[in-house]
Amino acid sequence: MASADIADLTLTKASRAVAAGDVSPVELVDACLDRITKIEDLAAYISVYAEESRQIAKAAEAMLAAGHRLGALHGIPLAIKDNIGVAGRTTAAGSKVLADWKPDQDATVAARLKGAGAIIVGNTNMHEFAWGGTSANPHYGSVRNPWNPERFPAGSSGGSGVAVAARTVYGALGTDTGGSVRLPSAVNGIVGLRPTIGRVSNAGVIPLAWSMDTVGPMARTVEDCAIMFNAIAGHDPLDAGTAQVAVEDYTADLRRGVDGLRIGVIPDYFFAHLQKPVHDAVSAALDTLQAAGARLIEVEAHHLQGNISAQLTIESAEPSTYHQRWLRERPEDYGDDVRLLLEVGEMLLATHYLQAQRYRTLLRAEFLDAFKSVDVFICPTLPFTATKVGETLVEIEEGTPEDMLNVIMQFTGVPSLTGLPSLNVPCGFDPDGLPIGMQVIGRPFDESTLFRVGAAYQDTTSWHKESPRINR
Amino acid sequence: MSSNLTTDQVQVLARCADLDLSDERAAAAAEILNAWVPAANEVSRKMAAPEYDNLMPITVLVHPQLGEKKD
Repeated sequence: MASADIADLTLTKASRAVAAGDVSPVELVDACLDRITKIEDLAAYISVYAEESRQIAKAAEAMLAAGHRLGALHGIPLAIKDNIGVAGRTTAAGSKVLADWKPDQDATVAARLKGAGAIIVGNTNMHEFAWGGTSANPHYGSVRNPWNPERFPAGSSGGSGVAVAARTVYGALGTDTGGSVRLPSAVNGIVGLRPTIGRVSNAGVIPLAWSMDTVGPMARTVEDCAIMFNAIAGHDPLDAGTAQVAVEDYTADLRRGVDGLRIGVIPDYFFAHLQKPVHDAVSAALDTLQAAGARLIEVEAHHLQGNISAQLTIESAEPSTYHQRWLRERPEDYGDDVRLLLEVGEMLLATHYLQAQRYRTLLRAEFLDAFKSVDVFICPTLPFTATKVGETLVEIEEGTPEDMLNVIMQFTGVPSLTGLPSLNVPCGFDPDGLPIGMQVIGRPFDESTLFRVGAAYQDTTSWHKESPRINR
Repeated sequence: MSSNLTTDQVQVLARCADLDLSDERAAAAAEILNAWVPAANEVSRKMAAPEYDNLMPITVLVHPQLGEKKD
C-alpha cells in the first residue's frame, strides 16, 4: 500500500489492517510522519518525535509477531494537545511560560493511550494555555485550516483538529472547556467528543478552568472516536473530579440506528442567530435522521439567556486564579490576547463568579428535566464557518461584526456549563467549501447514545469521507 | 451599572487585585469589562431572585455520581 493510501485510512481501518497483518505499525508511522512534513506550513504541531515513534512502532511490530496485540489501538499513531503531559517530553501548553517544562509522569490519558498500544507521534499546537478559540499562537505560529490555509482552525485544540483532518494521524486528543474539542472538530470537518464532566481524567493536564475542563478524543469517524474513548474513559484515583461510574464498550451500539430516538430541538435558540449555510446544513441533517426513524421534538428552554456571560465569567476567573503568580512574575511571556484576558479575569467580582456557578445549577436542572422527554438534543456546533486567520470579529448577520469570543461559544457553552456530553459530527460544507458541524448533546454518562446517533448519520452520509487537498 | 468603567476605575480594581497595569493595558481591560460586567450583573440579578434561593453553585467539589447515570 502506498504511503498516501495508508495515511488516508481511518483509525478503524488502520487497526483492522494491523490486526490482519496487511500493514505494519512501522508503515503507519512512516506514512504519518511523511504527511506531517507536507503540512508544516499549517503549524499544526509543536513537537514531533519521529525517531522515537519509529522505535516504538518496531517494538509494536515485534509484539504482533510474537502473537501479542494490545487491542484496537495497537501500533496506531496518534497526537495529543500540547497541554497533556507526556513523561520526558516538553509539554508547554502552547506557551512560552512552560516552554522548557518536561513532566516526570504521563497524564493519565496519555498513559492509557500508551497502555492500549497507541504511538504518540507528537504534540499539537493550540491557543496559548487553551484560553481562546482561534489557535493563533504567538510563540509557535498560527495554526491554519487545511481546507483553506487563509482560514482559522478554531480552537483551542486547533492543532489536533488540523492534524486529524489533514490525515497526519488517525486520531488526537484535545481538551475542552468552552468548546475547544468541538469547535476545531466542526471547523476542520472531523468528529470530536466532549465527554461528561468527570468521565475522563484530567490528571497531568494543564488546566484552563477546573470546573469545566475535560479531555476528549478527535478523529475522522464516530467509530474512531469511540475506539479512542474506550481507552481513556473511566475513574482515575489521581483525579478526584472523575466519577465512579462504570464504563462500557462505546463501540457496542454503533449499528443500533436511530429508529424511535427522540431528538430535542430548541428552535428559538439553537436555530437562531447563525449563518444560513450552517442553518441549512444542520436542518438537512435533522431531516436525514428523521428519515432514519428518529422523531423531532420541539423543546422550550427558559434559562438559556445568560449562558455566554456565565461561561465567560467562569472561564475568566478560574484561569486568572491558576495563572496569578506567573502573571505577576513574567507577564511579558504571555501573548497579548491571553495576558489581557487573564488580567480581566482578576477584576471580576467573586459574586459574579458564584452567581454564574449557581446559574449552571439552574441550567443543568432545566436540561436534565428536558431529558425526560428527549434522548438527545441537536444543534449547530458553532454559528459560522471558518473565518480568516487573525480575525477577532465575525459577522453572523451581514454588516454586523460581533466579538468572536462571545459568538463562538453560543452553542458549545451549554454542555460546558451543564457538564453534559456532546459530540460534533460533520454535516456539510458552506459555498466556500468550509466544513460545518452539528452538535449532539446527551444525558450524563450517555456517550454511547451520542456515538449511536453520529454513527447512524455517518452510515447514510459521506461528509466525513471528504478530505482537504494536501500536497502529496 | 449606570455608566462604563473608566481607565482610572479599572486601575482601582487592579490595585484591589494587587496587579500592576499600565494605563494602556487598563484601557484595553476596560473595553472588555464594559462588555462583560453588565452581562454578568444581569446573570447576578436573575440568580438573586427569591425562587433560586436554594440553588447552590456548581464547583469542582460537586460532580455527577451514580444517581445521575443514564436511564
